Amino acid sequence: MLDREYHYFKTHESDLIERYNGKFIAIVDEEVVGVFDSELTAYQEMKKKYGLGKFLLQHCVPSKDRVIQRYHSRVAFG
Amino acid sequence: MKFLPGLRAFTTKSNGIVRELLNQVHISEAYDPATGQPEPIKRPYIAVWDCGATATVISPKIAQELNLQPSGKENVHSVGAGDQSHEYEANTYLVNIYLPNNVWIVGVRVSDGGIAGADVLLGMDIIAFGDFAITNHNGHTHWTFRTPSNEPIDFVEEINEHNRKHGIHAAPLSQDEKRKQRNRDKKSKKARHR
Repeated sequence: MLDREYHYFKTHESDLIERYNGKFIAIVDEEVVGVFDSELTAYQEMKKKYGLGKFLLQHCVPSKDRVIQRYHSRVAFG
Repeated sequence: MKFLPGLRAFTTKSNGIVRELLNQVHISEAYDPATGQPEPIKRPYIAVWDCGATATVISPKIAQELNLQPSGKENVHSVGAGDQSHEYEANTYLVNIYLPNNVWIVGVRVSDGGIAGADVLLGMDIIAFGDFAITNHNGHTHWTFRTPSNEPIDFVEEINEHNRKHGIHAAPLSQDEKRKQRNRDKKSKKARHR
């Protein structure tokens, strides 16, 4: 689920960050369909418009400003 | 002490010393109570506080029970066997987290993953919303959290303040510290005579 959208984001990451720096973007298929200041607003508006599970929200911040999710104990992914 | 407007807090007091900080929390799909929309279903889960985690994780069971759908993806790093760091692509969900005593955190981006001994792992993203402290006085672990952050907590400053107030001087020097002090005095005396 959302693999296509995430692949689009990762492929165009630097362009999207340059264009939408600091904003939350909503991606459906391979298109940016919304730009927001807050993730909660983005979530509510996109849920109304597309339905849950149909859109991908990503924060457009340069990698140096992004908190990498790290876990040192008791959690397993994959 | 001054209190910021809207400050909320909770304290958990255990009967003995505990090695993991567990709280019952409620989770729901993200919603903004200010919008007046109907509240989504929220359910109780066991959460563990983990300052070794940069962000919060929910078990896949929660996503299933609350019918959450992913709204993002994130690359996450976890330390596995042999101290190796592994990178995974995890789904993310937007949720509200209801801590005890009406302490709410609205619109938290969480990943899903398997969690040992709990359903929710509360990471530094939640802790960073406020002030968190743990004490073990008289063999009872207490932990307390308030949000937003109100003021720094500094045990060293507390001791210094107490000592100033009661006219108590710094702790007496150990034998080793006394010897070092004598050597320093001798060196400075020699330097003065040159």
